[in-house]
Amino acid sequence: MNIQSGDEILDSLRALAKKPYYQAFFAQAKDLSLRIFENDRDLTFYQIIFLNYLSMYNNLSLDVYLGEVPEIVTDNFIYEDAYLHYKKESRRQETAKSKEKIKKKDTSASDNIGKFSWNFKTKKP
Amino acid sequence: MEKIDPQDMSIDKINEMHNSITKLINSTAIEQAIQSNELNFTFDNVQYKVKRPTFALRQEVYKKQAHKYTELIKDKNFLFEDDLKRIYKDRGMDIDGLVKEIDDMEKRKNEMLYKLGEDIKNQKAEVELERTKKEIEEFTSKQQKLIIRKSSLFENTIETQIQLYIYSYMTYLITDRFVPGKEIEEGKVEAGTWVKAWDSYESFTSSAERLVNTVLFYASLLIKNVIEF
Repeated sequence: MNIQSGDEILDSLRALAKKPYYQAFFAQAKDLSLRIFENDRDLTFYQIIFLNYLSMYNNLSLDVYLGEVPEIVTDNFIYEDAYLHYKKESRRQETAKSKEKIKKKDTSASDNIGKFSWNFKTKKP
Repeated sequence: MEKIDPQDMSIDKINEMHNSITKLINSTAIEQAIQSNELNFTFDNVQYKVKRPTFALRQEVYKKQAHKYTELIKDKNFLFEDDLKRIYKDRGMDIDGLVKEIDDMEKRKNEMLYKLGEDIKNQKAEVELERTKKEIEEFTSKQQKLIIRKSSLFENTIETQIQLYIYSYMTYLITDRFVPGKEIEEGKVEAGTWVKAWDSYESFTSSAERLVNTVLFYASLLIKNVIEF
């Protein structure tokens, strides 16, 4: 057999995880208590990577199904990487924006602390 | 399936077919390999088994690592990465510059990926997507060349040598060989047993290169990231 490099192994694992058989298996594994590997503990590095790929393709299929992204995304690894990177980066930017908003609100609220003045109410005649 | 015309069998076509068959065989091997954290394979009619290292085996490797480290720092033929960096600098090679170039390329690649991802989501024309994809492929290949160049410049450092040593030492420790049982009487055979594949590390390293490479490959599927260097 030919000895594969680390990158080739990862590509093979990724191609396997993308197969409908493993995707169906992954989708049902929890409900039907199916075991993916013979060992259920002390997983190897590549077994963990394989699980991550299964989960990644599960999420990607969901996005395609929900119409978040056209099906062409699954044509090749680069399209998939590009879409997932775009999705992750967009979310990161959105979170950063909302954090900035909250920070601004907090700052303006704390700025008002010193400006607080008592407002005594008087009984209306 | 595509029909093969024997008149049209160029070297490129044969290579292409060879690559796709190799990929298929390797992908089946990988599929089998991830089924368990213990792998069996046969080499020259001998059955071998590599298993995930136990805590005790890992401890043994750590001790060997310390021993090898002391041995290498006494040997003036080996240098630390930082020492080698200084020597390269004196010879006009800027390693920090090379690392920066690789990092900058990574950032640029991420920008290209982001743009492609956005275009896919916005359903841009396939021709356009394909063009960006090709650009990314070419860019990645350039970046890979720089990464390989950097690794080859540091092949003989103490850090790399220790990595290689403990990786092969671990492989030696986790490999077993099956010894079939002897025939007691006609038709009756004793149960076979698993024994250590080699009596010593030296006999492992002096074994046939093809066997060592095969064992290293199977072991790499189990021990990657087991030991922190």
